[in-house]
Amino acid sequence: MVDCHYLEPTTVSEVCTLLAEHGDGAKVVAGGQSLALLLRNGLIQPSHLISIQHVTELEDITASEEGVKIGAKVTLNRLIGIDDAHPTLRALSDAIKAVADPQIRNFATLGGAICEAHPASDITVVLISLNATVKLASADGERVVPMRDFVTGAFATAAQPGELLTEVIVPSFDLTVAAAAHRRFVLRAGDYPVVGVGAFVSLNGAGQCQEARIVVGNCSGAPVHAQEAEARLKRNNIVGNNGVLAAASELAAAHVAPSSDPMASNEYKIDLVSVLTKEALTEAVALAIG
Amino acid sequence: MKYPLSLTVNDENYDILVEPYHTLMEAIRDGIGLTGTKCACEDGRCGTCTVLVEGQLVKSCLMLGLQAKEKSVLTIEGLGAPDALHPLQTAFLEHGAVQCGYCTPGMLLTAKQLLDENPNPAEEDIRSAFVGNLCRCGVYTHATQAILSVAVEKEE
Repeated sequence: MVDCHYLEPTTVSEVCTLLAEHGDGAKVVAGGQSLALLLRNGLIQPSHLISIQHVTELEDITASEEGVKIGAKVTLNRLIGIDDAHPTLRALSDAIKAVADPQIRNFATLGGAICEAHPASDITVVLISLNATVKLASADGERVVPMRDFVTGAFATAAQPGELLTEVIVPSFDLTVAAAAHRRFVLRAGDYPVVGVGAFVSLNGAGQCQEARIVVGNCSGAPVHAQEAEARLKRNNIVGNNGVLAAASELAAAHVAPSSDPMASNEYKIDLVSVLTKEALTEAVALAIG
Repeated sequence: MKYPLSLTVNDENYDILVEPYHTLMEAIRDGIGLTGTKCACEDGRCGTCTVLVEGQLVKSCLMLGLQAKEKSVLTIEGLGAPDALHPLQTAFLEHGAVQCGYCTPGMLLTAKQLLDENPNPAEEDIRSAFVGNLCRCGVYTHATQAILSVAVEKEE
């Protein structure tokens, strides 16, 4: 094991200075729930661990007209039931209930879960379906990146050395005509899912679909938008129209090319995409019409 | 390089030295010598290393030791003593909720936390509380009954 230093800054600007100083050898520790494993297994050998445990400015959840801003250090357990105060986060709260277990959710942070960029992450899938963005801070300033561009592959993100994810922004939407839903299939409670699907729909007064997003997790390195399926829904009447939801679900299944793994064959995953997309869309439509 | 780690475990203060990559489990078992916190999967799955940090459940193999600096930790050694068992420990014995015993320390701390937050849990609450504690002997039903019996006693 290489010599490793442990640093405990207390502000975002101090973190950014340290990240700039120590380059790619520095790794940020928030809850440590993914990082501790990588460290022990020797998969990463950082020269500097930068603990953000005392950076309290990353722990807020605030709402504005723009949307809900969630600090990167908000723990997963804090987000369960958050939809009571922030109803647009319903699908996120729902998905997190099934992520890992109570012990892990007590310390795992939203920012950490996003930066791990696990191909099967339910959190990533839901945030992309909600059109969320993330804010990255560095010694050079801040930039905002859409979640759909942030996760670039399995365990890979668009964050550059020196950048710290500080905030997740979930944009507002009209709850009387739009909704998101999430479905997952898991072999063992607490595991990452075999397949996860996030769906978002918005309707106009005539029950036609205005916006649709269908995001599939664990069928490639990064979550994918099932674009043909989204196009099939747009401008069509999707209220009480089982046929069009089924057709879109088939298109979503046709869009993905998963590889087989010890949990499931690729054919099985493709079947799951179809079933879970149909369920997620059905729930999203039902919620959107209220 | 090693860093000093001061923490309180079961109301006793300890000062040890740890590497930044050492986990809290390693600090508790190897640094302090309290081996009631079990090490099994070391992968965050099994929950045998569950402890309470500032009253919050955590798998100590997933937390860095230095993250517990100046914090208060409760391990199974602090829950009860052989001559003064915690009511949950007594209930686990009476209900036969222990077979090989390896998961027991973690299960008891999860059970304690559950009852602290929800003194009168439904059977379903207990089952979902155990999602992060794997028992391959399969004592879940007995453990559930044990916890329900303690909840009922408290109520009376």
